[in-house]
Amino acid sequence: MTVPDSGVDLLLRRATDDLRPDVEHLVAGGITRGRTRRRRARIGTAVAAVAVFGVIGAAAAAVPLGGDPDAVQAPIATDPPVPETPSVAPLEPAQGLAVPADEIQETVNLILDRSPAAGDRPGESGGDERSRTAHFLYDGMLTTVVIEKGTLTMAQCAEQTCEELPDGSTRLEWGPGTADGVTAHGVTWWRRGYSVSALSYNAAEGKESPPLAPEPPLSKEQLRLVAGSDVWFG
Amino acid sequence: MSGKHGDFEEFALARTPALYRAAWLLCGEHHRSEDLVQETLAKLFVRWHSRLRGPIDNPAGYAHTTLVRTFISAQRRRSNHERPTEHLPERAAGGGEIDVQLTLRDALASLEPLDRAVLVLRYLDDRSVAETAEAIGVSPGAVRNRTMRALERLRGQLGTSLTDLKS
Repeated sequence: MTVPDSGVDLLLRRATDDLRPDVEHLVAGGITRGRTRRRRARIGTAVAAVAVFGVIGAAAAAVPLGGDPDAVQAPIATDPPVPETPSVAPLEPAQGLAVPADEIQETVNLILDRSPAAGDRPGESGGDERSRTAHFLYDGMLTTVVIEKGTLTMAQCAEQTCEELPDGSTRLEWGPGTADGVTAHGVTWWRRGYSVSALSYNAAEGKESPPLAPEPPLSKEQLRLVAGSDVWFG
Repeated sequence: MSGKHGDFEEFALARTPALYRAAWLLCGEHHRSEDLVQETLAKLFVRWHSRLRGPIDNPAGYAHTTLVRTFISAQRRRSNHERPTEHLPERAAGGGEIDVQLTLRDALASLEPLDRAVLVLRYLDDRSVAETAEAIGVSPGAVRNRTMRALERLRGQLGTSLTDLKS
C-alpha cells in the first residue's frame, strides 16, 4: 500500500476524511443522555436535601439553642395539622403518572389555587415512565417537585420520623433548616406506589445563593397539599 | 429552539464531525466511536446548562478534552479485555484512502490507549505538550515519551515512507 509521505497531522486527517457520521443522530442521542444525567443529578440533589435538612431539623429539635433543659418550652408555632379522616380505605396503586414534567409548575398553582406571580419562572424539568422532576422559581425562589415510582424503604425513615397515615401512605416532613446559606423545607409523601417530594427554598438556588426572604415561600401546609395531591396520578 | 438549548444544539451540530473523527481514531470502529461522541455530548450538555457555573471559556477545547478523558476512563474499565496488538494481520492489496484508513486503524490499535490519546490531542487537536499533559493528567515528560514511542511504532507499522513523522 502507499501511505502519504507527510506529517502525522495530515495522515490522521487524510485517513479520516471520508468518515460520514450521522451528526443529527449523534447530537440527538447526546442531548437525550445529557438530559437523563441532569435529571438523575437533580433527583440526587433533592434526596440529599431531604437527608441534610432532615438531620438539621432533628438536631434542632433535640438541642434547643440556649435553652434551659428544665424550663417549660413555649409552644412552637406550626402549620395546622392536616385533618385525618378515621377509617379511610387504603389507597389504590396509581396506574401511572398523569402530569408531564413541564406542566408541574402550572399544576402546583392549580393545587394551591394560585395565579402565576411576577417572580415565577420555569426551570429544568424532565421525566420518563417512572418519574418526573421539575425545578422552577416560585415568587423568585427555587421550588422542586420530584415524583418517583417506588415504595418506602426502611432506610428512608431510619434517621427521620415518618408518619404512617390511616390510608396506608407514609409522610416525611423536614425543616425548615439552613444549609449552605439557604433555608429550605419539604414534604415527601409515599402513596399509591409513588413518592412525591415538594421542596421550597428561600433563595433562587439550592445552595450558596443569597436568601430572598426569611422563610421559603411555600408553607409546610402548602407542601403537604402538593405532595398529597392525586392530580399527579393517572 | 432558543436560549441555552438552542446554542448547545447549534454548537454540537457544528462540532460533532470533528469529535467523531477524534473518536474514530481513538476507538477504531464505528459503534464505539458513536457511543463515545454521545457520552461526550451528554457531559458537555450538563456542563453547558449548569446554573452554578459560568459559561465554558473554550467549548471546542473543552469538548475534545472531555472526549479524550471519557475514552481513557472507559479504557481503564475495559483494560482487562483489550491489549495492544503485537502482530498485525496481513491485508489484501488495496488502494486509495480506504487502504490508508484501514492500515492506520490497525497501526493505532497496536498502540496503548493513552498513546493514541496523546497522538490525537497533539496532532489532530494541535495541542502543545503541556496542554496535552494537562488534558490527560500526566507529566509533560510522559507526553514526550509516549509521543516518541507511538511515532516509532507507527513508523514500524506504516513503513519507511513515514520517515518524516515529526516528534
